[in-house]
This record gives sequence, structure tokens and C-alpha cells, in this order.
Amino acid sequence: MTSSRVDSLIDRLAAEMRPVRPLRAPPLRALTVLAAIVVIGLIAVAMLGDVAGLRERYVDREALLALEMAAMLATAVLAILAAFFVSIPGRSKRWIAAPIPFFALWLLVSGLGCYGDFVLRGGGGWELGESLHCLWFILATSAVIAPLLVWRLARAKPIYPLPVALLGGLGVAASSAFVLQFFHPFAVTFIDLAVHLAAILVVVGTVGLFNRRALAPA
Amino acid sequence: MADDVVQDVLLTVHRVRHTYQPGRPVEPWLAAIVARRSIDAIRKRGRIGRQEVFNEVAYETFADSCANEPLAADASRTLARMTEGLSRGQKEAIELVKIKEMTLAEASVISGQSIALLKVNVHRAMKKLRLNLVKIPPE
Repeated sequence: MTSSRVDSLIDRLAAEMRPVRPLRAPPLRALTVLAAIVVIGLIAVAMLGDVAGLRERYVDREALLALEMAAMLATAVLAILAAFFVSIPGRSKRWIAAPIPFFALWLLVSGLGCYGDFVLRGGGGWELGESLHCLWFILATSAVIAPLLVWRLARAKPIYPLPVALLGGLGVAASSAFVLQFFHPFAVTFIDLAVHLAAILVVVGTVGLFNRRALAPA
Repeated sequence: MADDVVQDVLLTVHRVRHTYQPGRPVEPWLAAIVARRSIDAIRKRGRIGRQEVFNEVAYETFADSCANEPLAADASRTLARMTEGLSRGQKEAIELVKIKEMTLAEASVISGQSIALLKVNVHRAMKKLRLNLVKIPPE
């Protein structure tokens, strides 16, 4: 390219310049998405939920339930927050690890709950039957939340989209599992926990697999 | 390769400039982009390297122009064997898109194949050509 053509190109590009509107801070952006998820969850619970049933199932085990729900919530919030942070170049990579302890706590407490249930009522609860509803519920809720989150995350055109997608997937799955608690027809059993875990892996895997297509990296 | 990375970084900076938060230090932001693009470049080189077929004979025979003459017949035979098994549509797609270097839209008008079909045909033809080349024992 000759220098005059370069000059004219630069002039043309400079003439077309628009002011850049910087993205807002990651916590703010995460907050708006979380607020939307809360609204979706509230609508779903108000329409279909069974809060009295929830209390009944965990009678005498309120502390366990509270801990489990808190761990789920922390996983969801931290994963979504971390996804927004990691999508911005130069932000700390340690955010990737933020939701992991709470995810582990959630699985641990759920496992304990299963064990307690097993001891309380003896065998049984190994059938798949009802658990399939959970699978579908988590997948369906995720299918509603995931596009919303991905749409917001894609604004940053993350230069390394894979961790962003995986964190987003975990956030979506944890949010769905949290909402599922209000619908669950019975206390968690081992097979049920496995099904929940499978659903989470499916959601995280799907979002992770489509990370490039979904997040339109720069 | 370093030049490519610099170009890539400049383009990326332009594309993601809205992710820079005014008031925060520029250096970590820029460093992260440079690091990422460097990794991408290394990965790309590895990926392309795995796709390439190394033909030793090509260097020995075709580098010197005189050396080509006695082997021209051989080369055309090799080419014939490589293109063996290509369908008419695939041959046409390769000729228009790869040899005549037309755009897909132009090639589509001339050949009557849709753009999607052209892409598929080019892809399959390249795969077959590569396979055929590897199958030919060096003579």
C-alpha cells in the first residue's frame, strides 16, 4: 500500500470514529443478570413452587437445608461474577477458583443429606423414576437462563472464551439447581444427587463446547 | 511470527477497546491481550503444522527450474493420481476457488453450485487430494 493510500485510509477511519462506551464494572453487570435470574426464579416459584413441601421434607434438618441452599447460591453468584471478571482482559485469573469451594461444599452437604435420609428411612430411593424430572427441570431452567447470561457475557468479546463459558455454565446450572429446591417432590437421594450432577455437567459441558460460537470472541 | 502477533494484538485492542475501564492501569489489560494472542499464534502454528504434508521429493526436484523438465510428465501423472476419485463438482470447485482464486460468490455464479455446496466440495476435495498424495509412494 502506498503511503498516500495509507494516509487516506487513516483519515477515513478517523472521520468515522465514534466515542467508545466502556463496559460497566463487572460486579454491576453481574448484578443485573443475577437480578433477572431472581425475577425468573420468583415467577417460577410463585406459579409452580411448593414451599410448604420444601419445609416438610427438611423438617428437623433446617440447618442442613439452609447450608445446602446457601452453598448453591454462593456457587451461582460467584460463578456468574467470576465469568464477568474473567471476560475482561487483565483481571485476576484467581476468580476462576472462586466458586469451586462452594461447589464442593454444596456436593458435600447434599451427600450428607442423602446419607441422613438413607439412615432415616433405610433402603430404597435408588430408582431413577422421579429423578428424571429433576434432570429435565435443571436443563429447562438452564435453557432459559443460559442465553440471557451468554448474551451479556458476549458483550465483552472475551479473548479467551473457554473459562468464561465454563464459569457461566456453572453459574447457570447452580441457579437452576437452586430454583429446583422449591419444586423438589422429595428429599435428595443418592441417585437423585447423581442425576443433578449429571445435569450440571451437561449444562457446563454444553456451554463450554459452544464457547466460541456463543461468546463471539474478538 | 512476532510481526503477526503484533498485528493481531493491534486488531484485538481495537475490537475490545470497550472492555478497558477508564481509571484502571492499562498495562495489565494490554499484557493480557498480548499474552493471549501469543498463545493463540503458537497454537495456530502447531495446528497448521499437523495439517501439512511434507513432500521431500518436491524440494529435490522442483526447486531448480531445469530439474522440472524431465519430471514434468511424472508430475502430471502424480497430479492425475491425486485428482483420481474427485467428482466433477469437486474438481470444478477446486479449479474455480483454489486455482483461479475466485471468491465463493463468483465461483457460484459460474458453476451454478450454491456457496454452501462449493464450500463442502472444496473441503472434501482438499481432504481427498491430501489423502491421495500421502498414498503415492515416492518414486
